[in-house]
Amino acid sequence: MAGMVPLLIGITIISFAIIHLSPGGPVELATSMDQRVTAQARQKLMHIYGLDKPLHIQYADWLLRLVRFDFGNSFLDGRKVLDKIVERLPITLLINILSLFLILIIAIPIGITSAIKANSFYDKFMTVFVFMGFAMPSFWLALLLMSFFGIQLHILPILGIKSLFFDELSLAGKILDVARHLILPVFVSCFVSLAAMSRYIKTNMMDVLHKDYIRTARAKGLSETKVIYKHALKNALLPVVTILGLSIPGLIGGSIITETVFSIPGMGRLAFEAVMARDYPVIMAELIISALLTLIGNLIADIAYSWADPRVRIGKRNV
Amino acid sequence: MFKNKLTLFGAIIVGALAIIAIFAPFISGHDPAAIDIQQALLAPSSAHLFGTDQLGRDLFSRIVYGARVSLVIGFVAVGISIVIGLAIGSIAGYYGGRVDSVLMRLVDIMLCFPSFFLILALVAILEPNIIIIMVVIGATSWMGPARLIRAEILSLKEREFIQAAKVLGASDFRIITRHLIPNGIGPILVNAVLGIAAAILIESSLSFLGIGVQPPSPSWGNILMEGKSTLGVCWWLLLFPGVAIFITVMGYNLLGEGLRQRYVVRDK
Amino acid sequence: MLLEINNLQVNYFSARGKTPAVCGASLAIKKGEVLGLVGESACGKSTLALSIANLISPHEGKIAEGEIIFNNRNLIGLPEKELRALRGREISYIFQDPSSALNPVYTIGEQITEVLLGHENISKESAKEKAIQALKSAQLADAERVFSCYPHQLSGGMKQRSMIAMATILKPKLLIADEPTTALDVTVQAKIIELLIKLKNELGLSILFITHDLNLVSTIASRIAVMEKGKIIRYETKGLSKPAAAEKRKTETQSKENVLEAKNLKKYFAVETGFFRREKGIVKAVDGVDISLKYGQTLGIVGETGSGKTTLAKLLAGLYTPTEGKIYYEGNKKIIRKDFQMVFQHPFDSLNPRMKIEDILKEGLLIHKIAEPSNIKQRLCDLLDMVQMPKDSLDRFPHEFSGGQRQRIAIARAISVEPKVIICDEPVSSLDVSIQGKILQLLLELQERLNLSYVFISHDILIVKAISTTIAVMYQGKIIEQGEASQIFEHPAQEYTKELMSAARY
Repeated sequence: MAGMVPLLIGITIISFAIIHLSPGGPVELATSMDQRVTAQARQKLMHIYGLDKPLHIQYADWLLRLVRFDFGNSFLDGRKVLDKIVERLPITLLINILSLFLILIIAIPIGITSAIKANSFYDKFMTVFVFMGFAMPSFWLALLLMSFFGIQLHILPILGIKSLFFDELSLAGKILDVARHLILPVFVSCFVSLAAMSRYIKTNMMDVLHKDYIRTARAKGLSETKVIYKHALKNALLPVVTILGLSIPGLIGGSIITETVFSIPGMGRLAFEAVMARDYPVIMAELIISALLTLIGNLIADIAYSWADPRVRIGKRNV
Repeated sequence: MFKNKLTLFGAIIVGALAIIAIFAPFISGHDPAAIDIQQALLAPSSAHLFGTDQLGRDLFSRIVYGARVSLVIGFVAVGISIVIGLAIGSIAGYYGGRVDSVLMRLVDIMLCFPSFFLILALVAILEPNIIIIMVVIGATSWMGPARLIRAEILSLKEREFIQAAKVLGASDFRIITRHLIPNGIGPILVNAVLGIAAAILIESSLSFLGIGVQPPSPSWGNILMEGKSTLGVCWWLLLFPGVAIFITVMGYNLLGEGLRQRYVVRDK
Repeated sequence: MLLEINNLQVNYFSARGKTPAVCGASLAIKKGEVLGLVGESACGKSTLALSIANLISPHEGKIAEGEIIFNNRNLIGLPEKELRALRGREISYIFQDPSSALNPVYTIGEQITEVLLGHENISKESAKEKAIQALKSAQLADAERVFSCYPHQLSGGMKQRSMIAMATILKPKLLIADEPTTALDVTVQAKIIELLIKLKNELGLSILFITHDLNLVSTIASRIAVMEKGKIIRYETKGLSKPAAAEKRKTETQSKENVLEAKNLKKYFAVETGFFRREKGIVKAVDGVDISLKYGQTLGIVGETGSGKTTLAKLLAGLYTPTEGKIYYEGNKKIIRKDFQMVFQHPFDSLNPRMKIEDILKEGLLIHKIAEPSNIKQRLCDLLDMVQMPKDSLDRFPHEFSGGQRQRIAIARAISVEPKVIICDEPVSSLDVSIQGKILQLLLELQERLNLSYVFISHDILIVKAISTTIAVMYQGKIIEQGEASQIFEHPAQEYTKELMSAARY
């Protein structure tokens, strides 16, 4: 736990450094788009933002504000960064949680059955499918699906999360509308990670199936079902707990491409817009929040694993 | 040389791509930059194998030249990440102690950042061009190779043949070059090949979003970006660049996996 | 006749097609008999054992031919359902490494009751009682507690006892024990053998006892089958004695100079955690050791795993620096590298797998500039001669040789730099019994010929005795007893030494 402190410091330093990397500093870039801004005005802006103070002072000020969750105001529209983020959060969470859920319920059975039937036709087929998943660029998949379902077949909407006439719908209608809009984005979000996850589960399961205690279980005369579902499964799925923890950061920041292609107003899209517009306060905020979430996610993953694995939970040699 | 069918397939793809990239001018048939509005948005035909884009440029040639961009970026980015990673990882692994702790903390910090977003932000801030893209991808992907080589060195350090070399009187340098590296190189190679696939995916994503290779230089990603507006109508603008990315990444992944089988099984 | 195996053929599937593991093996076990099965590694004994109850996974291999007749039924071709009824109830197994043979995420109790519940129609409470009873019969004192423990909470010996309880709870007719004591400490081994004998008598068990250790199995088996390359080639009824065939030089006990001496040697390791590397605990691997080695003699150091003997070896060889204490090399404080060489335990690990034998042997010569480039080749051939290896070995890689051959190469490497002392850390422990004697013989010859002094470390007191002039017994980082070899062997003073002796004598 104490090891997290240097990590936090490191994260903040690097984030800070990134912003000040660009030649001329943040103000320069924010205002270079706008020709009307004179050199004098630039100086003034720099003073207002405190950018003419020495670097370590800027860092300290910035850090203090961070601790109070004050991420400053967006260069783009002047609103508080925190507000913009909070606004976009729910959509991203919704898509990613749905996606994670689907991934788990699809990948786990696929991984396990592939391991049990290793080298069969089924397994070979699944392997090919997995490799396709790894190689598929998500934006291309998105475009293909949009083209096919959205335009050719015209059965699914392709942009945004609600239709124009949303407000006139009943509650049920509203839910259905959002659901329809989410089908493609969630699918795309899933597809690529599905490959990785089922691969991981398969590898784990195969490792476990080759362990000595599985041989012992068979030698005891247990049925194959018991051997697999009681003995092998529990061991193979232990790491899945870790994965859940590690997916936490992805819940917020993992969907830049998907959201941009489908024009979904979420955190990922916000990140993209901020980058395009060189909106530094927002970029910073997103970086820091993601990094923090990764730290927390890792911590939760560790804790969850220690709780699940009796070897860690109970500790060694109470003999 | 035990290579199963999939790995062989991957190797063939990788080889074919290299040939295409090197001999691009001879294969393409048209000038990828030649604009001809009269010929805009034509479907594939014998004159234009893959059709033309909004500016009448031959799509096939653009895709062939796009291979160059992708491969160059892939190789150089991975090269950079491995050089940095090898340096940091081997120092951490061999010397251990405080040096190791500090360096691994650095790795942990870098790993906390969402990589795609970080790359996106950095490339945008520093102005997107091919060199910046390669450097940024390389500078944000060194953590994998670093950890790998460190792990290899840590496990090899305690092996008896290394101890034997020490007892024999070999110098640190001799041990690292003649004993540690030749035995630890396997996983790094696998990581490199898989890394090229990853780098190509990242570059095409960046280009698609407009923050990668800038038009008119052809990159499979930015061809897709330009073609996006014809969604549903000009299927060739959508299909071919995507297939190119897909096959390329698949090829490197298959090759990388095959290499991994060979190295993991061997060193038991 | 309880079990009859006739002409069994088992093939494994590998990248290169079918590899025969068992080729026409036949054996028979009577009711209540203990049959030993010995052979070198990879001779097929484990495969033979697993095929009895058909535990070979269909992915990995197949029984191609033969009969396995158990209680007048041919098990080959029997449907899986009936085989399952037999497993655990009539035919049981115990395996080599109890740490990996027990499922880490279930308690011992759960794993034992599962056998009962799987074969019999009884209640959970009843199963629990029976399980605890079985644990008691396996001589586990705190049976109730062991019942609720997870495997990792128990020692190796306790785990193996639990496995034995699990395998015998349904009173099987045949127990197949595949190297059940190999992974355990010497003192524990003897106790497990005792337990097996006790159970055999109580339950009228037949045991198929598989091991590579001929001496061990003679204490429990009435007949011993010897297996080689997939076939049973003969039966033995008496154990071979340990390599006492190695002749020792007459020990000259007049005062001689010390070539190597250690005074109050200590090596502590700190267990560190956290960014600031705070010390969490200290492991006292070597805790105040005084030993000495005279020219031309052999100092044997005997101890079990965890006694610190390997750390001591590395300290003496100069691979570790002492935390405290001093080592004197021919009277000097500083070691002359080439004079003090080492031979390691694992022949499969002490040679760089990617280097040719020529390069491996050349390395020392190059580093210390011992030979002229013109006569290096000749030097290498001479070295190979001295360890009785053929000249064409130079062009090959380590993986092309057997364990014994690699160890010879390792010895050649050690003598290549013309050392005065060779520290041997368990050099024959990883070799088959039949090869051990030859390597020890080689070491003794080289000692005579090249005027070497040895520090010889092993957990096997019989081997140490065969080669040493003086012996030091090590326990938990300290030398608890040392003196002339014959003295220690015939009149051990310390309790622990006596225990080591009795475990070894079987």
